[in-house]
Amino acid sequence: MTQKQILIVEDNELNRAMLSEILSDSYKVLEAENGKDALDILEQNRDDIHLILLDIMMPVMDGYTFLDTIKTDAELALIPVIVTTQGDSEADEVNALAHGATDFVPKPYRPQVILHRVANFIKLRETAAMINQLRYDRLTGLYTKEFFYQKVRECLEANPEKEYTILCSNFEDFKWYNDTFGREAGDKILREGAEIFKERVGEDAICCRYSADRFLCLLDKERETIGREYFVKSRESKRSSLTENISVKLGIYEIMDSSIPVEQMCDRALWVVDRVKGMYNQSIAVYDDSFREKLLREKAITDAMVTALEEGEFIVYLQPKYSLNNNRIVGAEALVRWIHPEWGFMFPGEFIPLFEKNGFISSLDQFVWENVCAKLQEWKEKGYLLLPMSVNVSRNDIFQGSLVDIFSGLIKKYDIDPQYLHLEITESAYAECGNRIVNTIEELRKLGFTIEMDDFGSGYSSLNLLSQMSLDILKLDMKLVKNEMTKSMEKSILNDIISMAHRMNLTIVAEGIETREQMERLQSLGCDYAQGYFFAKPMPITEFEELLKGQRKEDIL
Amino acid sequence: MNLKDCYMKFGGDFDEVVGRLRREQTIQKFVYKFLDDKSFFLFEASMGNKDYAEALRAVHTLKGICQNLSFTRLFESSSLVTKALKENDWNTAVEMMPKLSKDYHEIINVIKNFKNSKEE
Repeated sequence: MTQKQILIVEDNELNRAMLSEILSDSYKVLEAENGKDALDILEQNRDDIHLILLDIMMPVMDGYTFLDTIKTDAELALIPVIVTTQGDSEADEVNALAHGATDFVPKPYRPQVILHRVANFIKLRETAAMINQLRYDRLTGLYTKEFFYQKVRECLEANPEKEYTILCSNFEDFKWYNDTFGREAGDKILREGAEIFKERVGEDAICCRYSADRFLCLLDKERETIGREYFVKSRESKRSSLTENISVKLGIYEIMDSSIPVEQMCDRALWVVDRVKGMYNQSIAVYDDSFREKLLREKAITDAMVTALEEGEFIVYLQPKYSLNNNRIVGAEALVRWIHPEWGFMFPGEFIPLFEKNGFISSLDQFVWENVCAKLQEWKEKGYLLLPMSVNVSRNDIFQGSLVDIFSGLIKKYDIDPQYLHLEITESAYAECGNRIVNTIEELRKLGFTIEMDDFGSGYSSLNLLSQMSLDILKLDMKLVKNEMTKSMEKSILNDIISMAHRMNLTIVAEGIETREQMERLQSLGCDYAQGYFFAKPMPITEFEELLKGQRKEDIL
Repeated sequence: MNLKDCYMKFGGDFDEVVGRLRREQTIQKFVYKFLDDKSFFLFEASMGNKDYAEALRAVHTLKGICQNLSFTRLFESSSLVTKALKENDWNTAVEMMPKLSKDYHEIINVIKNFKNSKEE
């Protein structure tokens, strides 16, 4: 085991040598001639000094000044300091203790007494440090999660008549900040954030660092209600870099029933804060009954999802795409519907966002791909006219990394031509996945698949993306089409987008067409294909087959 | 002459120091080291310069060393000077200097003689 280190601060060489002689069998000894030298040594060994033996009367910097200085440094203040006195002046001893000395040893030196005293203080400090580690977060100085739970329990038990609230604060995009500016800058933000948080909630509040960038706090309900907006307000002082880069989100749980376990109360505050993550206009969310019901519903959905897939409750629907040239079906997009034995028909808006969050979307996507490929094979074998089918590829699928293998496996397994499988990748996935997606798409295109950029114009639009990505089809988001209808032809944005896309040899598909007016406008702008309720809703595959039978083979391009 | 005789000669408490530091060899090492200690000369020079703060620090240190090595006589005279300087009583301190000097040099001479006899 490494020897513990003791720093002797004493101007007289003989006295220093005597102390060193007493201690050096059991400890590694460092020596300083005055307070200033001692501070330099401490700066270089701040984590490795276990105890300081300090003389008071010294040139350059005396023992009292030294004690006053180390008191201002939270870490150094934890090191026990034993002052050596001459044993004939109680005033000196009292003075040393008043300046923060842990204890004193009088001259003449009694080696056994010194050794025992030193050993006891080192042990005491280590025990205290261990307790501190369990109670306080090293980075921010706030309570740790476990100690916070304990303090909250004690507080609620001691004040049953009072009303309290649990707050959870979360820094928006903290991971991005950490990744961009480095861990050190991230730590600085956390320290600053903790300081601001503590300052705003007030001295009576109990605060902890729950995890990376999440702080929890128990505070008086009245104070919380009055200060709610203030807690998330940007800091006006220029001192903080926090305001420039990070916004704070707040989850609030008002304690109605203090018999609920504290952990569960905190979970609720943590859940609601997740609700406002990524929302530009909303910083605060309060846990209430409707939230609870929503949460329970989500839990029920995620509990049922795996069985639903195994039991065949997910059904593939097809929504036809039409040529705006001749109003004929040119293909279809495969969409998923869930028909639950108890809940009935469920719209994807209810479960797709959840599956995207928990990753189940990849299993569901693969189920759809498999079904579509099997159907294409069936149609091929029956001699039906084949039309391309579009399937959705989500962000999760791209991150899983084996997309190329999966699709090549599928076309091989079902013996179909890749030109009949169009892969729809959302604009946001393009924006988020960076280089990874560029390479994957290149490979898929080389294999003969057609790539569609889905939801173009839904929010992440960057024309730069279009020039970087290799694409075949651009699918305009329905919002873009709706907005277009509010403008005159002269102010049309779609006109420019469509012209530009055509110059890049891209085919344009407009989504969400609901009215004749929209259809005619797109026709006049030269949009190639359209999809939407105006033409046809998503339908079971058998209905789609019937629809196709109505179209003569030679009419379809 | 042994170390105990030295202590008797310069007015020290050998039994006390042995009781504390246990080993005679250790005591001897620090007694020899006292020959090189500058506290007394620093005290004398500071008094000459009327730098009483520095003089106090030096004599205070000397007193501490005497305590540790159980140099009883020199401890007593250095204690009196320390007390006088602490109380800003410069005159008394000056008056006590010859006694302090005598006690100091007596110890130094005894130690030197002892050291020489050991080396012969």
